[in-house]
Amino acid sequence: MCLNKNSFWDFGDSNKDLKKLFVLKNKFFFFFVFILFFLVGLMFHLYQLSLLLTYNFFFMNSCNFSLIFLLDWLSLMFLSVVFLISGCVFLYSLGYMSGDSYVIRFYFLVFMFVCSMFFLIMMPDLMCLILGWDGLGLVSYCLVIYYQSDVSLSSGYLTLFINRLGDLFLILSICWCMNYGCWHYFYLFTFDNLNIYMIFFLILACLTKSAQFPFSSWLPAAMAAPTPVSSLVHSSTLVTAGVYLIIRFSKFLSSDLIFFLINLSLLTVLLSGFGALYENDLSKIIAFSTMGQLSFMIFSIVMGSHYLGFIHLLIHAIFKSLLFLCSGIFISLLMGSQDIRNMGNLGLQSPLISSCFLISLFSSCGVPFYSGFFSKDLIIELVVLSEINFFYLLIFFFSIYLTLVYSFRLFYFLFICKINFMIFNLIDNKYMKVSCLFLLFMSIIFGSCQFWLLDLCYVNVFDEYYKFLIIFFFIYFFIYFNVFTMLNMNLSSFIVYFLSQMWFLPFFSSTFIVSKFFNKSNFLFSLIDLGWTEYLVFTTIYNLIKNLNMHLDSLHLNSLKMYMLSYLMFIFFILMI
Amino acid sequence: MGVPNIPLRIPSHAQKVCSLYKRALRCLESHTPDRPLMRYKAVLLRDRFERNRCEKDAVKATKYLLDGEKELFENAHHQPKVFAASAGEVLWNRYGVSPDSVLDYWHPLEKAQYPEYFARREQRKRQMEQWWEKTYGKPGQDEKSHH
Repeated sequence: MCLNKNSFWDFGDSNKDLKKLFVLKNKFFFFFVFILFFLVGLMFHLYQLSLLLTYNFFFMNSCNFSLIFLLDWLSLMFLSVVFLISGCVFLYSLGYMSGDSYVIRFYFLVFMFVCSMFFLIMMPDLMCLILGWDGLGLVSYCLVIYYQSDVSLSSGYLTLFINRLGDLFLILSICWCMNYGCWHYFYLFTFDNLNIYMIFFLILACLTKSAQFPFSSWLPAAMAAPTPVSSLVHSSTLVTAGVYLIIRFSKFLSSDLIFFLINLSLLTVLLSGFGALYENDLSKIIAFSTMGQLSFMIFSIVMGSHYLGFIHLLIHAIFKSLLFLCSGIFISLLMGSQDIRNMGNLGLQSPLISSCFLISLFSSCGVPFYSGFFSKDLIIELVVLSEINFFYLLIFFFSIYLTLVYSFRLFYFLFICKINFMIFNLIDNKYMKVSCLFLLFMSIIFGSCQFWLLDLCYVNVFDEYYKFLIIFFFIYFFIYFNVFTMLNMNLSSFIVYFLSQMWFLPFFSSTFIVSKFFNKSNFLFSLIDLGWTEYLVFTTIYNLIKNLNMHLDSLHLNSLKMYMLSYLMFIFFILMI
Repeated sequence: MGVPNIPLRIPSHAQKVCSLYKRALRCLESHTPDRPLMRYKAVLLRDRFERNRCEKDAVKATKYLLDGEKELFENAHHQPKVFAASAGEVLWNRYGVSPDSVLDYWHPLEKAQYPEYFARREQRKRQMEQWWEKTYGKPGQDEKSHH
């Protein structure tokens, strides 16, 4: 008889339908909320409305404890996308996590995550916002360490500590906010400018959540989580929380902060582009791509078009979650291997999912008329229109070029390369397919839909032929890769190692810092705990008592021998006398 | 993984060459995802080894070996291709399995939720003890339990 270790959580095999019902109910609930929030958001945008719902807990000595919810088109649109993706991820996990022992814990954690995201988006109060902010950090840590391996644990700790650093910055910002007498940021918007330190700490907190340059080592490491989690958490919700807050506070960005953010976002784009180019783990490549897109959003916000950045955030969330869901299916087809060198000719072996993957990949590149194109193209045009340093512009275009190169590399390894792994475990799960197809539909129409419905129009700078440049680039890469050589061949030098290791950022953000504290504490431990005091006072007395006890024990255990010995000694003494 | 690199035996020259050949093939595999191209390169690699196979001069042979090791080190891949279930990889130790003895430390209230199972478990433990004593003898007076 086998007893399930997880019996407290698990409903048992007999209640499998209950699990499905739980998830399906959630799915339909989420889908309903998605449609509701989307339509209400459109209405709010049309009439330029914003609604504040206040719930008073209690009122004492002119001190009001209340919970405030902000409903405007930004929050409603964002929430609708979050609910759409989380619904699809729930449905997908029904198939993907079906063989898992701890699946109920997984569902609860994902649900808690969505709740935290809800609080983060809806609360216009910095003090209440930290509820959602902290919830995101904690639940994402629990989800990263969902698998119990050492790799997951170390990744989880990295994620947790960098997110904690972000919390610290946010708390510092809140402390400064006390000078204004209110944590409600709609009240703060009445000021012309806020204190630079407060905004600086807030921006730093956002940068940690959005995995920008000095704090970006956690995002690829967090891919140790199950793939549906990566799809929800590390592409569309958690990492976009920082961008969302930057959009909210974009009014207060001073010129110094703008300079700071431009530098950091361009550095992150380069870091992620090179990282994705020399990375061989499928999930990590997509994580790098996410990091690049986030810096792209921050760059567009800083350049003055924060609504465009926000729309790119929404569109990116949908196609990136689809990319992750498809990659999850590929990984399970390959028996858990995430190395893209093991993949090859997947289009032949799993055509439906491959086409979903390709469409989302094209979206992320900005191929014309896929959803990513609509926002990305406008952002590029806006950047060209703005008065920006030529050097920055060069790096910006180079980063877009890098996006194309690593996307094509992925395409090459997954679909053009010869078969490296014969797949026999074909996945025929209707839930996984349905969620992928639904997101596919959304990722095709969502970009154009946003532009029709929200009535956003910007001047086009480039001729329409330029927009098809990307397709020519693809043909060029195809020839280059096929005729000449593979990109990461014979490049095993220090530079490749440097680029593939994210400029040694994981080392600098973990071992480099921690080792100093460890060495110091080891020194103190040896000096104080293991010093002369310890030796003289504790160890000596302990050893004395221990040795005495052992001696007495041996006397006690050999009592007969001792009696005999004492008798002999007694006789000896008598004879002596 | 955790095992110190203490040389437990002295490998012969042939063994060292075979090991180098195997590692070189693995390195080639990491560098070349295209399987037919990798096979072609593997044949070329084999040819390089075969050319010096009948080298009688021990000094020269050792030099070839050291050169090969150096070349392998210089061309090492930054992310070698390893199996997903290998140590330190994504599938390694994904589910921690707690030992069976943990069940003995459950609270009686927890145990009461599965009365049949625990009754049978106790019975089986007794049977196991009887079998052990029958086979290996009873424990000595100083010993508290079977070892």
